[in-house]
Formats: sequence, C-alpha cells, structure tokens
Amino acid sequence: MKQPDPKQRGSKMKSPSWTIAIVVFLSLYFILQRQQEENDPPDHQVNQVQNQKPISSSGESREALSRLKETDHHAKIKKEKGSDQTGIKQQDGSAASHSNSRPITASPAIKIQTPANSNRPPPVVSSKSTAHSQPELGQLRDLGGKVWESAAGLKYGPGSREKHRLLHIMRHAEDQPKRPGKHGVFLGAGDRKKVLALIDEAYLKALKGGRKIEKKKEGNRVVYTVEMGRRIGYVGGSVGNKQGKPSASKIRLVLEGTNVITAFPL
Amino acid sequence: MYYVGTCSFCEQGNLGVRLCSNTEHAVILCDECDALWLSPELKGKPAFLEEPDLPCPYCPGNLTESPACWASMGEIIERGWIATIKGETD
Repeated sequence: MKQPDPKQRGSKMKSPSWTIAIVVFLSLYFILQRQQEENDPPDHQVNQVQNQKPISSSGESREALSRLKETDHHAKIKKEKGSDQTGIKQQDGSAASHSNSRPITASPAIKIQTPANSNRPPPVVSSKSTAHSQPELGQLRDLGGKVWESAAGLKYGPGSREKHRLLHIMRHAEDQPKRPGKHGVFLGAGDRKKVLALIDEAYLKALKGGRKIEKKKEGNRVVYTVEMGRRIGYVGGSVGNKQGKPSASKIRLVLEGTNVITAFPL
Repeated sequence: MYYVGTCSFCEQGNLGVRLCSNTEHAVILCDECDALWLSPELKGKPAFLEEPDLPCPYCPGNLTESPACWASMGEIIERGWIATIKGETD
C-alpha cells in the first residue's frame, strides 16, 4: 500500500485554516479602518496645515483658507470615489460631511499655527534692548566740533582755562588742598563716567524741580543747586581741608542753555 | 594767578586779573564760571561773555587765546590794582 506523504498531508491540513485566518484578519482590518475613517478627522489635512507657515496677515489667511477648502474638496471627492468602489454607502454626518459642511476655521482638527495658539513664546522686547536704546547716565555721545553730549542732554564743549569743559569738570574729581576757598570734590575716585553720571542725575532732578532745587538766573546763565539726598562728595580746597573735608550732598550746576560751564559738589 | 576774591555768582571760583590777547586790557574773571567784572571793585552783577572765545569787552581781542593770560604782579601794579589782591593760587 502506498503510504501518504506526511509533509503533503500537513500542508493540506494547514491551508484551509490559514485561509480562514487571513480572511478573518482582513475583514477585521477593513472594519476597523472604516470605523476609524468615520470617527477621525482627515489627518492629511492637519499635516498639510501644520506644514504651512504661520499665518499673520489677513491676506495670507484668506489664501490659506482657500487652499484648505480646495484640499477639503479633493478629499471629499476621493472619499466618495472610495466609498463607491467599496460599495459602502456614506451616511449624513460621515467623514465627507465632517470635512465640508462646517466652516473650516471652526474645525478643531485644523491646527493653524497663529501666534495666538502657537507654543512659541511671542516676541518680547527685552529690558536689555531698552537699556541699549536709552544710554546710561554719564555716557557721552560725540556731536562733532569737540562737543560731547551726555545721556541727560548736557553738552560739554571747548572753554575754560583747561580749554575743554570736561577737563574743567574733572578738576573737581580730586582735591586741590592749596586752592584758596572751597573746592568741591566728587566721589568716584576720579572716574569720569561716575562724575558725569552724578551731574546728569542732578540735572534731571533740576529739570523736575521741587523744594530741593534752587534756581538762580543771570542773563543766559542758570545756576541750579540740587540737593541729592546723599553724600556725593566733599568740600576740599584750603577751607574744606581746614574744616576736615565735610561731606557734600548738593551739586551746583552752572549752565548756559544745555551747555555746561561748570559743576561741583557743595 | 593772583585773585581778588571769590565769585559771587558760582560761589566757588576765584576771581583773577586777566589780560586780553592784545595784553592791553585787564578784567576780573572767575576761574570757575567765567563771570566777568570790569574792575576789582566788583560793583554790580557780573557780565557773561560769549563762550568759548570770551571776546575782550574793550578791543577785538579775546580772553582765551595766547598771549591772553593771568596778570603778573608787575602788570597788576601797573594798573593800580595791587590793593585788591587777596592772594595767589597755583
């Protein structure tokens, strides 16, 4: 007797069960896919929109909306074709109606990256850049013709025995103990920027006015005496040295318009 | 610099005897604020000349450019102002 080949019998036994398993798997796969299509938004649209540039102007947004409508329309046609091919009837409220019947802007699925809903923080004007646009007190700007303008708007130009007002002011950065009378000396260890910052501060206070400001006018000259409310220097010179260099909390500014003639502590 | 007093305008500067660039005319000038008096009597309010040249009030010269300078003792004596001098600064 001819014995059947065990290998052949096994393959025959296997083939029907494999076929059934594949059929069941495929049917389950199609059912699940259809359910997903009905419930989920069209992902390709979201991706398309996300890949677009952030919309900023109204003209751009209108273009983007029209592009979206076109894409939606194509998707609807595709879906309808697909449903015809598979023979599945689309119902009202299906994917097609989801994609086309309601306004696109109201769709929660469409994530347009506008500044309002973007995760990126809005551009903030930092305090650093503000600080750059407004110079610090004591900083000077060259106006040409040997004239320098301070941050507060005071001008230092040629003049005086020292030939320039800045050099003259810096005489008050150190004591002259033999100088007859008083000689006001600014704190700041001879640092020009610190001295000029104090003068700028005094000038801004003088412009504000108030009880702590004394103003004397003579022709086109104005003398401000400004109480700074803290020690800003000391009284030197022969008189100041005899008195033990008393603290100075006032600054006297002698100006001609915004041109500095002199400034010193008292 | 020989000085005749302290400036009544800025209240800190020393008032020196200044000769103009023609060295003919002498005035009293504050070394701090450039306030000017025509004589050491210091009568009235000071005048303020045009900055930065400080033109001489008597001639076309000025008080800033050489040979304008602080007067020496001899030049002060010449003008009869010696009695007003209070002292000398560096």
